[in-house]
Amino acid sequence: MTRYLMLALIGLLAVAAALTPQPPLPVPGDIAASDPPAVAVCAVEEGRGRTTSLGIVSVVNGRGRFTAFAGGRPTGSTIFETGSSGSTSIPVVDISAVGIAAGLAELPDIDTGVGSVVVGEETLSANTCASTPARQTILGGGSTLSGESLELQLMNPYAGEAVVELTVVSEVGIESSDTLATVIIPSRSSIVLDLAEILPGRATLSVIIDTIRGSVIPVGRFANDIDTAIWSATPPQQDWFLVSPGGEGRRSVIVSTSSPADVNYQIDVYGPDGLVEAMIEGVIPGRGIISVDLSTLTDQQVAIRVISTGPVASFLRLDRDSGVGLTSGSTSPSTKWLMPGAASVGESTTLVYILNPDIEDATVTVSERRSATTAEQFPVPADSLIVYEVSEISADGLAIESDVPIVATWLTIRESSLALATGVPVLDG
Amino acid sequence: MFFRMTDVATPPTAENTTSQQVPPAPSVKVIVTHVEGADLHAALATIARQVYEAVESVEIVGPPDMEVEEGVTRYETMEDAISETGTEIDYLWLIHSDARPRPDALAALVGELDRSEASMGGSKILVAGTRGELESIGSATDIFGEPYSGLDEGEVDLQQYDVVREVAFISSVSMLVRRDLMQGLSGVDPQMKPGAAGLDLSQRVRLAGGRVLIVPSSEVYHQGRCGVQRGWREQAGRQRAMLKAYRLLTLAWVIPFGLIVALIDSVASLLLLRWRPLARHGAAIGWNLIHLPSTVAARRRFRRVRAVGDEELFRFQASGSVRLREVGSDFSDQVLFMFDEDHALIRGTRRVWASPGIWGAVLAAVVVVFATRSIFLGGTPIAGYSFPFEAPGTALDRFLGGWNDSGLGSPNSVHPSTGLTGLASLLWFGAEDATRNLLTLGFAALAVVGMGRLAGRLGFRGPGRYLSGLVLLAGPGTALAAGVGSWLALGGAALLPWSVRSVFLHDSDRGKSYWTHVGWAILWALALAAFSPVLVVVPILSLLIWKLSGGTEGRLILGAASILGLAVAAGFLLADPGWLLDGDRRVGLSIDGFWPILIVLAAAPMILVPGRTRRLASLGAVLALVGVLLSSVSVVGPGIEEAALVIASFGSAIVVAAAFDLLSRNPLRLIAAATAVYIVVLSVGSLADGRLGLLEGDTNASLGFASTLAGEGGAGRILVVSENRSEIPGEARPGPGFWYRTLDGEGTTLDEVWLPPPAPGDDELRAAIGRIATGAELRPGELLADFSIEWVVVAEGPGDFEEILAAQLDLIPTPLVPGSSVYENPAAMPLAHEDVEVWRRDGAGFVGEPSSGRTTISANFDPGWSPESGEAGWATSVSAEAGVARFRSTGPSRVLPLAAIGVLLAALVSLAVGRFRR
Repeated sequence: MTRYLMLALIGLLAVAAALTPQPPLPVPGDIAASDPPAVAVCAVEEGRGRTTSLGIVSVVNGRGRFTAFAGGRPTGSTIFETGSSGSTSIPVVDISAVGIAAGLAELPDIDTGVGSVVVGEETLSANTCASTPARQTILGGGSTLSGESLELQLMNPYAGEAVVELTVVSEVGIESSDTLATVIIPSRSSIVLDLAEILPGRATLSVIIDTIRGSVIPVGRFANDIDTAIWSATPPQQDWFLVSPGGEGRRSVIVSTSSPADVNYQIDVYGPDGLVEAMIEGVIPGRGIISVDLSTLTDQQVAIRVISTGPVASFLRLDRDSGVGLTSGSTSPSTKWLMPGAASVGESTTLVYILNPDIEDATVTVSERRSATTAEQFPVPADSLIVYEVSEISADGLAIESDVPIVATWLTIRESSLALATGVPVLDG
Repeated sequence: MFFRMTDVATPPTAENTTSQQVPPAPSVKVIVTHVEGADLHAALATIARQVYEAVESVEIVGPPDMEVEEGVTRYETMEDAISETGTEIDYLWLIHSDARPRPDALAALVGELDRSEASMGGSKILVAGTRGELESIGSATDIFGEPYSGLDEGEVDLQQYDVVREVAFISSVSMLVRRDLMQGLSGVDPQMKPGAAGLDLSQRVRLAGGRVLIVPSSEVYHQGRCGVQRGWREQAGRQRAMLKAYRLLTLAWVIPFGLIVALIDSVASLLLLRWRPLARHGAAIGWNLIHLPSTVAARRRFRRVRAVGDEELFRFQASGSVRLREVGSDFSDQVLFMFDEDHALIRGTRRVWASPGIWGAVLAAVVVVFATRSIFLGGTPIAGYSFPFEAPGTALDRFLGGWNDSGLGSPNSVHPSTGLTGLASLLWFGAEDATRNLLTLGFAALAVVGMGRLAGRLGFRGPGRYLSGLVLLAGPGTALAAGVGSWLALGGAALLPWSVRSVFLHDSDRGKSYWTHVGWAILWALALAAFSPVLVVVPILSLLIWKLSGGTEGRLILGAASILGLAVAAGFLLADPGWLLDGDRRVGLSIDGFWPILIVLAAAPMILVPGRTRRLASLGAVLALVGVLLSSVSVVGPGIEEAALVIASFGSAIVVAAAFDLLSRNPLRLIAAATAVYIVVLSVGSLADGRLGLLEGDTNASLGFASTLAGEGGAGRILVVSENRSEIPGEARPGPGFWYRTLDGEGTTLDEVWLPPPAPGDDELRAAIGRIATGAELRPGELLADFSIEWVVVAEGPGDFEEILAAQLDLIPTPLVPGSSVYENPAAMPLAHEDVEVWRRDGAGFVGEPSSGRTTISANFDPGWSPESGEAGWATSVSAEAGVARFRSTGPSRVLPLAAIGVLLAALVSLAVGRFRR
C-alpha cells in the first residue's frame, strides 16, 4: 500500500514539475526615456584675421556656460545668461584665443539654439552648433578642386577618447586612404583633417563618419578664393527639406548615402509654380553621392524635399561670386524655429527663407532677439516659399513661430561674403 | 639454582658434575604493593608458588586498615619497606597486588640479572584474561618522558620480543632491583603513581651507572586495576621524573618544547572533541608547580649518586613527540573512518576490496581529485556569487551585530556564512584565503563522504553510496548554482547529507547517548543554516518522508533539534524576508525539463521491485521532484531558489545511491541502474572544468585597480553596471534597462554577496543612476560623488549605458579591464571624511585624526553609529572627537547572533554530556 502511495506522490510531483512552466528570467526595469542634456558643440576659430561670435537663442531666460577646449583641457570658460530676450552673444575672443578649436555650451534649456558665426575681413561663415552626437553622420557638399580648401574638424568635448572610422566618397567612388581609415580624437580635443591635401582635385566629396568609441561632433570647413563656409555633418534620414535662395550663382543639392545598397530618391520642388512632386528621380549608388544643380531648374528661390528609400544626408551648397555657403537640410517641419547668430553681423543683409509645406496657409512671426526684441508677423501661403528680410540692427539671433509647421533657412550677405545656415527646429513646438 | 624452563634468553645451564662449591642463590625480599580492588590473597598465593626458593620474606605496602595474612609484614610506604630491609637481602622484587606472576617469573628475573650483572630487571607484562595480549615489554620514552612501548593495540605475544635487552624503563608491575642500589637511591618516589615511579626509578638507576633489563622469560599477568600510565597524576609523575633526571641545560629547552607540545596536543584533541588532554596537561603542570620544592630537593639528593650524563637517557629515547604522533594518528584514523565506515582498511588490505562501498568510494575520490584540480593549483574562483572571506576579526564583528557593509551599508544582519567562515579563518590561524580553499576542497570530500555515510546510516552498503556524492556536487541543481558561482550553495550541498544523517539512527548507533545525537543534529544544522538557511528544513522533511514510506530509523526529536540550527540565520532572515519571498530577486536558474523524467525513470522501478531500496528511492525521488518544482516557482526569493536547487541534486543523489545499492539482472533494477549511470555521467560532466563547476574568474583581481590606485583613505566603491545580470558579482539591483550594484573597492568579500533591503541612500543612488541613464546628466561623476563611487565599470559593453557615458564630462574612461569599460570618478568623496581630513577603514569602522568637527560616513544612516551619530542626508555623521567611528547594532541583529552562540554552546554541552555518559 505504501509503495503505491509513494508512486502516486512521485507521479503527482513529476507531472507538476513537468507542467510548471519555467519562470521568466528576471529582467531589469524599463529602459529610461532619452533626455539628452541641453548642450551644443560649436566649432570656433580665432586667428588668421577671423573671429567667432556665438549667438544663443533660447525659449527661456536662464544661465549657461561656454567652455572652449583644445589639447585635452579647457582653455577658457564663461558663464552667460540669456536674459529677458532669451538670447545673448558671446565673442569667443574674450574667452580664449585658441585658433581652430571647439567649445561646449551648457544651455539653460533643451530648447536653446547656438550658432557660431565666424567673421573675417572678407569672409563670413555660420553654422548651427550640433547638440546630440550620433553614431553615424555624413558630411557632404565639399570639394577639393584647385583653389579650394576642405577640412574635416572632429570635435570631442567629452571626458573619454573617441575613435571614428571615415569613409570618403567622391565622384570616383569610395576613396582609399590610410590616413582616413581610423582616427583617434583625444578627450576635450578636436582634430582637423585637411582633405584637400589628402584627396585633391575632387569635385564632390562626402565623408561618412562612423563613431566606434566615444562621441564626436564633425563639422566641415570649406574655403575658396572668395569666402569660407562651415557646416555640420548630419545623421542620415529618409526625408529632407532644403530651402535655397535664388539669384545668381550655382545652387547644388548634394545627397549622399551610407547604405551599402543602392538607394532610390525623389525630389519634390516648391518653386514659383507651387509644388511639383517627383520633379527629379534617380538612384544613389551604395555609399555613393549625387549632386543636383538647382540652377538649371530656376533662378528663383526654391525649396525641395528629398525622399529616399534608404538613409541619406542632404546638403545645400551655394556658390556665388560674392561668397560660398553650405548647410545641411532639415528633416522635418516645425512650428517653432530658432536661428542663433542670424542677423548678428553688422553691415550685412540677412534674409530668412520660409517654406510652408503644409496644405494650409501659415501665419508666421519673426522675432529679432536682442535686448530690445522686435517682432513682425506675416502670412505664408500653403506650399509656397517666401523671403523675409531682417532689419539692419544687429541681433543675437532670430526666433520664428508659426501656426502650421514650416521650414526656415537664413542667409547673411556681406559685400564679398555670405553665410548660409538652417535654423534649429524646436521639436516640441 | 635450578631452571625448570628454558627459553631463548636463558639457555639451560649444564649441571655441575664436579664437587666445586656452588655459590648460594641470591636472597630476595618480595614487596607487594597494594592495589585497590585487587585480591591480595590470590597475589600472595601466586608468589608462594614461585619456584625460586631463596625468597626470604614477603612484605606488603598498603594502608593501615587493610587485612594481611598472618606472618606477612605490612608497611605504610615503600620507603619504609625498603629502608627496613637488611643487608642479607640481595634483591627486592617489587610487584603489584593485581599482578599474577608465572611460577618461574622470579627465577627468570634473578637468573638474568645475576648473569648480566644488571641492576634492575622487569618482567614481560601480559594482560590478564586475554590470550597473551602484551601490555609491556619494556618501554622507551620520548624526550618529554612520554612512554612509547612500540606495541600495537591488542598485540598478542608470539615471543616476537623475547630478547633480553636494555630498555629505558620497565613496568613497575613487576621489577627486581638490587637492594643496595635501591637503598642508595632512596627507593621509589612516594609522590608518584606506579607507572611514573617505574620510569623514575629506571632513569635514576641508569644515571647511577646501573643497567635496566627487560627479561621476557619472566611473565606476569596484570589485571590493570592500578591504572598504570593513565590519568593526570601519572602524567605529572612523568614530568617530575624528567625534572629530577635531566641536567639544567637539557631542561632549559625541554620545558619550553614540552609546553608547546602540550598546547598542540590540547588544541588538536579539542578538535577531535576530546577535552581531557587539555585538563590533564593543566592539572599535571599545576601539580608540578605545587610540588616544585620537593622536586628540587629530590634533584639535590640524586646528584650525589649520579654517575653519567643525560646522554645515557637519550640512548633509549624515541625521536620526536610520542604525544603528537598519537594525535596525528588519531586524526588520520578519523579521516580514514569517514571513507571506511566498514573498517575495511582497518581489517586489512586483503579484505579491503571486498567492502561493497569501497569501489564507489575510490571512483568518487578519483573524480573529486580530478574535479578539484584547478582549486588545488590556483585556488577557489572569485566570480559570480563566490566572494573571498573577510579578515576573521571583521567578519565575526559583522556577524555579531557589526555594520553590514554590502551596498551602501545597513544595520541588518549579514548572511550567516560570514560568521562561520570568520570562525573557520580564525581557527586556521587567520589565513582566510587558505581557509576558503580548504573549505572548498572540504565540500567535495564532505559531499561524497556525507552521501556514503547517510546511505550507510540508513542501512545501505552498496557501491553507489559514495558515487552518489558526485550527483550531489554536480547534479541538476547544484551544477546550475555552482555555474553562477554560488559557493554557498556548494557548501550547503556538502553539509546537507550530514545534517540529514544526524536525524537518523542506525542499529549500530544505539550504544551512543541520545545527548550525543541531539548535539550532532544541532551542530550540523547550525553549519548547514550558515551556508543555506532554508536547507535546515530538509532533515525533518526527509525524516517525515522516510516515516511515511515505512522507515523506522528516523527520530522526530532529532529532526526538531535540527530546526534549532536556524538560530544562526534568524537575524539575517528576519531583517531581509525578501531574500526568501521576493521573486524579483531570484537569480533566475531553472532545472531542465528532462530531469523529472530521469528521476522518475530511475526511482519508479525500484519502488515497484520488492526490497529495501524502495524506501530510499522514494525518499530521493520525492525530494528531487520537490526541489525541481520549487525551483520553477517564480514567486520565491533567491534563498528558497538556492535551496530548491540543492534539494533537487540531493534527492537525485539519493536515487542514484539506491539504484546502485544492489545490482541484479532484474529488468526493473537494470532500468534504474542504467538511468542512474546516465544521471552520474550527466552530473560529472559539469565537474570537468576542475573547479567543482564554479564560475571561473577573479573579480577582485579584475577590479584590483581600485585598491591599487586608491588614495590615503583607501578605495571607495565601484559601481558595476551591465545589461547582463550574470556579469555583476553577487546580487544586483534592477536599473533602467540594466542591472547594477556597488562593490567595495578594497575587494569584495563574502558578506557582500547579498544586498540588504534598500535604505534611503539606495533609493537616492537608484534615482541618480536613473537620471544618468536618461543621458540628461552631463556630469554623472558629481552625481555619484556622494556615494563614494570612485569607479564605474560597465561590464560586457557596449550597451545603452555605455553609449550615454560616451557623452559626459567628468567620468574619465580608463582602459583597465579588458572587455569592460571603466570610468574613474575624480569627484568621488572618501568613504569617511571630516572636512578635508580623510578617515581610513579600521575593521568594520573608521579611524582618523581626532578633531572638533564631524565625520561624514558614506553609509546609510543608522543611530547605531557612534559617537554621537547624526544624519547627513541619507548618510551618517559622527563626532570626530574620538578619532574613531564604530557601529553596534542594538536590535535583533545584536541579540540573535548571541542566541545562535547559545545554541552552539548547548550543542557542545550536549555532545560533552553524551560522551561522558557513554
